Amino acid sequence: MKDAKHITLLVRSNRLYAHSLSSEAQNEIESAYLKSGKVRISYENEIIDRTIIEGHITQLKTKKFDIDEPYLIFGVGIQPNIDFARESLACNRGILTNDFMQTSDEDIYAVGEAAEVESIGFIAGHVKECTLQADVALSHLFGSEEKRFAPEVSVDMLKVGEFDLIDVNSPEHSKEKAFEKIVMTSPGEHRVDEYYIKDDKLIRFIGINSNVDVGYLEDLVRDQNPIDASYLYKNRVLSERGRLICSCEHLYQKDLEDIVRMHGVSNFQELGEFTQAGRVCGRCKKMVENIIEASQGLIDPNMPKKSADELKHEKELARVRERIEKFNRLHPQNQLDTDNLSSAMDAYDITDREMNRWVSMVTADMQLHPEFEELVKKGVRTLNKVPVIWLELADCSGNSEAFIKTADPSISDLIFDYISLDYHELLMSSAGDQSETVLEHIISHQKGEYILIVEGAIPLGMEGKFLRIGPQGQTGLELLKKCAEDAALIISVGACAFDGPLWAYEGRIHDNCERRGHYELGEFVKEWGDEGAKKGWCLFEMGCKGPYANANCPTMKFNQGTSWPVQGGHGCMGCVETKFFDRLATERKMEEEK
Amino acid sequence: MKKIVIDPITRIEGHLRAEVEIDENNVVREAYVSGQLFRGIEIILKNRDPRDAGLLAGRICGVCTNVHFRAAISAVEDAYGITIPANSEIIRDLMALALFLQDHVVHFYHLHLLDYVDVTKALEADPELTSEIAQTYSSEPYRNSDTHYIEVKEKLKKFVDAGRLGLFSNGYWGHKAYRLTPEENLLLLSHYLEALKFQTDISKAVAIFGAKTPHPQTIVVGGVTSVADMINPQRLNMFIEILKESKDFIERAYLPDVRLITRAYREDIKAGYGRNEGNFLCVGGFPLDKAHQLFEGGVIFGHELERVHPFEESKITENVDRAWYEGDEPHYTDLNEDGTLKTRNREDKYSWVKAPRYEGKPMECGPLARVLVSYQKGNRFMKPFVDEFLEACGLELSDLTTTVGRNAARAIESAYISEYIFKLVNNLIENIKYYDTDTWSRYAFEELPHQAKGRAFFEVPRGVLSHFVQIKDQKIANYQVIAPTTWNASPKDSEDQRGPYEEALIGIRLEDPSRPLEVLRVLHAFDPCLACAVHIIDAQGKALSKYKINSICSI
Repeated sequence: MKDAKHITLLVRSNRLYAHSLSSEAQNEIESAYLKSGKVRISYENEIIDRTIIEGHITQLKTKKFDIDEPYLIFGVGIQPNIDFARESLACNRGILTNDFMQTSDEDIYAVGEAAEVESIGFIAGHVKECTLQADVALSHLFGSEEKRFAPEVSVDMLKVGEFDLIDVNSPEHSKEKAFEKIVMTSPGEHRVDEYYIKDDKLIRFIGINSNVDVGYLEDLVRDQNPIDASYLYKNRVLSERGRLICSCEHLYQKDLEDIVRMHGVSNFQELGEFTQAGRVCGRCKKMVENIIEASQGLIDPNMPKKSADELKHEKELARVRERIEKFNRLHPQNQLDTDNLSSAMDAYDITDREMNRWVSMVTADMQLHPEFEELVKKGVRTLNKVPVIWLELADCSGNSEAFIKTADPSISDLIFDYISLDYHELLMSSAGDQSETVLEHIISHQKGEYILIVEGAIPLGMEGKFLRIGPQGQTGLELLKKCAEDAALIISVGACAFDGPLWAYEGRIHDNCERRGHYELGEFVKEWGDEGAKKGWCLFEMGCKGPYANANCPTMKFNQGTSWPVQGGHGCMGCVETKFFDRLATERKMEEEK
Repeated sequence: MKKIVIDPITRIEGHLRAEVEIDENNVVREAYVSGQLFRGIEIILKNRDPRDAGLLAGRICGVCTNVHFRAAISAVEDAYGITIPANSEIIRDLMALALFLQDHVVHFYHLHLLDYVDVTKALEADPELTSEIAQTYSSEPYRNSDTHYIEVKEKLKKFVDAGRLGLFSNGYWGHKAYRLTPEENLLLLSHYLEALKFQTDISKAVAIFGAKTPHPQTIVVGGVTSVADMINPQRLNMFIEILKESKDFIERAYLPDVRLITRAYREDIKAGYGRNEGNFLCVGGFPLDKAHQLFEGGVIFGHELERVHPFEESKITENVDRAWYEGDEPHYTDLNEDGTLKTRNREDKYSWVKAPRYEGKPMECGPLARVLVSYQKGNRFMKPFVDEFLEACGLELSDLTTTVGRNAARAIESAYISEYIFKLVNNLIENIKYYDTDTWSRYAFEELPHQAKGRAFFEVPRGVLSHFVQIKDQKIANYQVIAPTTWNASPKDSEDQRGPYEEALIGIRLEDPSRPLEVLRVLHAFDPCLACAVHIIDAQGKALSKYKINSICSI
């Protein structure tokens, strides 16, 4: 805030940051703030009223003084409003819960800043803790796993103006009053290290401009190993990882040097591919640049460099692997294999952008709101792992034919990259016993995980025996039932499997028809091949069923936009509509048909 | 004797089952081929307006869609004695011929190739060597570069390594009947991928005049409706451009690939692998000008290739002794308890496919029949295509009457069509140039005869297609279809003569009866299409001659 004239900091308590902070630390922080002369700090104060004129706050009243014409009012800190719960639920500072996040009414759960875990008097202040609480509540709700909430050691790293602040805190001990403190100060360096110790163990650390290895302290707090004060003293200035350079990215000098050395980074620009250090708040950019320059000598000129892409790929793999492990934990029956992961991802060969484009298109195709894109994307990604069974029953293979003529994406991308089409009689390599083994395997080993696509009608007459499939001569009906029972999703394709209408298409063909203008002008084809036909006039008089059918044919057309029945001069026969074979498949107007 | 059941036969249209009996040397001694689905579109057609026959009959098959559409309309036109404008005939031919190319390429690469190509072996291929090999089968091989093969191999490797084989799951990989080298496997697989694109593109050609495919919608009694497309030069150019591209693929990939297979399986060809009775049927068609047509009609019996008899439709009969019909009704006698076909007794019925016969004999139709008949009848356009292929592969004409030969005939025919389809486009352009833009013959429906019978015979990708219609009181009273696969996949008849599929299976030896790849190979070479094949017989009995009328169908 270079241009600000005055900054008033109202602090509700009588101290900055934490009550327990030593006066040395307090002074360091305070003097850092006050150094510019623009900031004043008012303790035990808060806003109690304000004056608004014409929509502008013209004056703030605090407990102690008034502030005129405030330019910017900035509130920090959270105090959830739990008044609504006070009558019905047991509350203290927050809504009281047990270790499973249940409130005094066991059917009501509370998580996050609103909840106070009674046994440890803990109120979450970090996202991580909030998520953990939500996990605990969910697993308790579904009875899937016995999990108790136990807050983890938290590490706050702040770079505030002139100073760095590090706070390693164990929520378990956050209410602890009986501690001893080792404070090491170095006025020259404006450094204060405060070690909160109880029974020889570290329970908290707060450092101002501190350089200790935070990771080490975190371990100390978590594991509750006895401290070695002389070790702490020896390492007060430089930890193994060196000085903390980027507090936003939690990056130490050594980390940066490692990145530079391993990837042969020669300038700040290149570093961006590996870490955001120096780029988040930007304060440490100069330091980062200096380190890169100073570390050039560390780079082994003969070492093969790992590209940013490779690194990204490794990270992606690690993420997916983690996801799969989680999946396997939750579904112990369905052990997904992580061995082939890298190849699988390569095989999909889809850059994110390409994928996103395709997902957008498919989402739009299904006439879904763009918000569904994430869901569609997720669906497509999992589709790769999910087998697809395509059953042809009493069909003409027309849908399969149309399917293999799909253009965006192309059929080869579709079957090699996007979906795992494991069973499709028209295309699969194996036959007879071999193909049926494939089918049996999916049905019995991947219950609830495969997608079933059904093409063709299901003969019901003669107990279904008009169609027999497979070595045992199952009827089409039996086969369908067998496959459908444990399918995750069943899609019927074509008018034989699904007798319309298509819900997804709200657009009436007639309304989007390229020949609609001629209809309005009363220009009609009167007989096949007449002058009107040559000019592309309206086909209504020739029995076009466009006014009675809802589909996207006029906009999407067929065969990569080549044509559609109206363009072909014949008119629509409503083939997506219910009972079109009996009602609409004619070349005459509806009223002429009796 | 041991019985092997293969159901479903995959990589075909429809529901086909084969049961073969093998001896102690794993040689097939008896075969039963059965259509396992009855749909009965003909029943739906009854009592409909004859003008709608095409829209409904087109749905008999989504693969051969436009040929059923056309045949139904033509049969009605034949019944009413309506001749259609030349332009409409050409447009119908263009749609049909583009379908030939689409079907033949899809058949070879996507429905048949994996009987010859071991996907897993392709992973061992040397990409450089692959491009060298491609040079030996074509002077200008399609997309022939080391980097392309490296890319394909890489794609394949990643796919296989990813652990989900999708369509390649549980294939016959490693089977002894696979004889190609790793490089040959890679070469053909690279074309498998290219052909996926090919068939998407060529379908646009059908859609230009057909509005869409599968199931085009532009043929009407009296002509076609896509007149606006016909008189639009840009649409004609688009058609030509697509056909040029496909000709390129057929000449530089498809034909060379079939030569490669022919060389690798020369032994099988010379041993007569997949040979049957040698009765061939072709009705001919596709006029190129007033004097010539693309295919000649004719009939060959018992491998007497030099003697081509004229085709006479009165000689067609149908037999349902072994098919699930009794008189004019479906009559299902079920399977055995264990799900196998009932075949113990000579009168047991075992298929929904009926058995059409010509002069009482089972007949094979399709590309092989067309090539043999046209060649022997001296079709001067066809001849060089056949001669060139036979010479390049060191084969004789009779070598084509085998499993590999059927594929060769199909590839020869594709190259031939992709050359002469331009002649048809030219004819169309000539007409338009001289102001003939007629696409429909006017008729007043009310004034047409109220009782009529008509039929249409066509050469379609898989062979001879015929539709028969009987009209009473302006409604369809009876409808009947004999499709190519009805001929080829027919069951045995009252004389116990096997159908062409069955006969072709006799004598082949299985390397591994638990993985009957050889049976698939023999059957796939015919390009089965079962949705087309199954049709009820007409209410009047078995002989079709009653449909015979004097006016010659305009094809």
